[in-house]
Amino acid sequence: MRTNEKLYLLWRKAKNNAMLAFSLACLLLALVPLVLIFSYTLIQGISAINLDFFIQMPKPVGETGGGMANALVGTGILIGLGGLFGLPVGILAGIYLAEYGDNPLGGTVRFLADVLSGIPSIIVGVVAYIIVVLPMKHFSALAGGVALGILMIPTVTRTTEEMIRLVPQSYREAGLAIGIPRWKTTLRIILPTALKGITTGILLAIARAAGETAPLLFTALGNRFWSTAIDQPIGSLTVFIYDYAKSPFEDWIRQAWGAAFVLIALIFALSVIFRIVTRSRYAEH
Amino acid sequence: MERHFERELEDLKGTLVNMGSLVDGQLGSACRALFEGDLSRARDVMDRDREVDAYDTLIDRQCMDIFALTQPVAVDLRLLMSALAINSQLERIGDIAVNIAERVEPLVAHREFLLSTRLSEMADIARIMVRDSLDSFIRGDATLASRVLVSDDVVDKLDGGLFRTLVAEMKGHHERVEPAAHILILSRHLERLADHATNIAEDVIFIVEAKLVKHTAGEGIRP
Amino acid sequence: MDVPSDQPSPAAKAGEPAKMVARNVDAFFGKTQALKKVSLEVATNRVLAIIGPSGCGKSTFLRCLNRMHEVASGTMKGTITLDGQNILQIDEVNLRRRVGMVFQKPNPFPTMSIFDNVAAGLRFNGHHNRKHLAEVVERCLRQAALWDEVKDSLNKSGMSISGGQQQRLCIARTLAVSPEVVLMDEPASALDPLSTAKIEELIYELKQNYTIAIVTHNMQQAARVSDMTAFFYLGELIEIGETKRIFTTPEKRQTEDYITGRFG
Repeated sequence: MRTNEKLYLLWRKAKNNAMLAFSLACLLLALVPLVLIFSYTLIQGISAINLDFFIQMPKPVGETGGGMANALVGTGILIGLGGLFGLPVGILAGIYLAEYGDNPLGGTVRFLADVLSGIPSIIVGVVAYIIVVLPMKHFSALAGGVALGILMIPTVTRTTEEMIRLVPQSYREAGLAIGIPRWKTTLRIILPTALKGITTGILLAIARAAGETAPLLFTALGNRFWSTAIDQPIGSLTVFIYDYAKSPFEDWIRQAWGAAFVLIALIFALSVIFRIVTRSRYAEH
Repeated sequence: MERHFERELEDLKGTLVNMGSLVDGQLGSACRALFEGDLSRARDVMDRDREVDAYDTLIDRQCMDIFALTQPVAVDLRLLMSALAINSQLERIGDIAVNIAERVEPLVAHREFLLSTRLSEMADIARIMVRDSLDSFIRGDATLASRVLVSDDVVDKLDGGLFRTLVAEMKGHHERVEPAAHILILSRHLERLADHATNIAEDVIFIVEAKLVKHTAGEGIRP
Repeated sequence: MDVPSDQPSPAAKAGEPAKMVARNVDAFFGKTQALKKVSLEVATNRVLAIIGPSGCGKSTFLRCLNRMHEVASGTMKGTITLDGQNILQIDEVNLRRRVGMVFQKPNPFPTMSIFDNVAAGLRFNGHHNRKHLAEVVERCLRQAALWDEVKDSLNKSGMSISGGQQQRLCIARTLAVSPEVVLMDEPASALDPLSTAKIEELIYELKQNYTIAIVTHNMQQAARVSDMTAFFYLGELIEIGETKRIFTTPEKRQTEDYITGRFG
């Protein structure tokens, strides 16, 4: 090789390496907040985490110790209720938009879903207050569930629509061509094919809902005592953290850190579980 | 894997074989009619030529259909191309049988003279060549085919000898000029019969060994 | 005198009515007219090949036969009948059970096993008897010349087999609902030569029990496999006839130019 060619080759290699280094740097930069949050909450809250933390009720003011068992359960119930309201609506809306939604009505629904996703969660909480708390005349887990459900809808709808659109048209045609009615083709063939992607959307929605605090303040309110009734106020991890973090007691602040870490870990675990459960029985192709 | 159009190739081969049998039969009958002075047999031969022509048309059409519908290559292609050539050779052999049959009547009164010549020997050799060339096609036997090529020289020599004999005969005996002329022409027919058999044999070698041996001078095959 | 003659024309059994008849079919996608006044008959238990250059309307016509053109928002004028009955008056789900379709790119359902793929048509229409399903699956996989290759792995994913096998799986899936007509839209164009040959031999076997119409851009394939050939150009049917005749002595100059490769 002549000298200029050698030089040019070296220059190209240098550029390649620089780009690689830059990309790696960006990756690390993006990971930093995640790692920081994880480790900071861990460091701050580790001292609060023990078995009691998970199975005991909060102790009265002034006493040390106690746990957040009711908050843990409460978050679970709230997410369950939210899922009950939000997931079917979101998935069905997503299916409608993907399969039948290439018309003005579909466009409107899409637009409204986008608007909904932009509404501050506290407003959603107020809405749930108006439509559930006021008629019932008290705060309840139900109202909290409604608020969380509404928050879940836009994410689930959009993701479901995207994932179903990604399913190649040839599977629809194949189903129709063997005499399977349109709705059955959608439900039994297209939906299962898109399932993996859809559950990612569901997971995202649940993660968001699990981390909401503001809407719950107007709806589920919070409860220092054990309660699983849906027509009564109910505790939740996020409200627990809010309450304890702004208290003057060091023990409570420590517990708030512990709860924060548990919340993060929970969401992380949720991701992993979902990945495993929805892994296709067959190898990826 | 067997393809469904292999059946059509087999059918074609079968049709060719049938035509060959027919033509061989015609030759046999024609020669017998000639040397036995059998007029009615000669007439049968001339009538049956229509069948030979029908086979000719049929095989041409079968070949065309197979070419169009199956795009043959390699051995199938060689078989098809040779089938067309063999078809045409057989049709001409059929015509020669008719030509022989046509000369039965003029020679019916000159049987002794006829039998005194070596014509019947020529006829036997030529007929064996035709039969062997057909057998070599049926069996895909290139060795048998190459033996046919060798016999062509023998027939050529007999033809030359017969010519000289008859010319001498005609010079010496004026009353024998007419039958001698017929016999000369018959000799020529038989010589061409041997040529057609040779052509068929060359086509068989082409099919089996993918070697073109046509138009090479000298006897036998040159590799 | 025994004069040999050719076999009688295999184009249509004398007196047997055609399985499907199209009369003056026009097809539109929005304002574009894809088919103009197409009239032809699909003979029972025969293979009809539809050939023509890209965009000539051959796939559109095929899809009209089982009303799949409606899936792409197409509209049709004129009549198409199945056993004499107008297909617009047959419930489209029912029609598609009787007139099945195999597509160009093999498309076994990705979340289902080989067994489930073949059984899908039956299962999703209410047949759940396990034994009956197993019988049908075996019968159809045999008919599709795939049984021996997959009989020990029926529970493997439909996507775990080769392209040629996937296409035969799709054929088995189509056969499982017992159609009368099988439409094939360039079934072998995405496959290697050996798989293509297997599919062609399969078609030759299938025509004993089914009426087949196949769209192909490969003329030699049309010549090898079909009894009748129809040549389309720019949305019109130019010529239709016995395959043997079309490929040796076509009537129209356009047909001859196309099959000799002089255009298109």
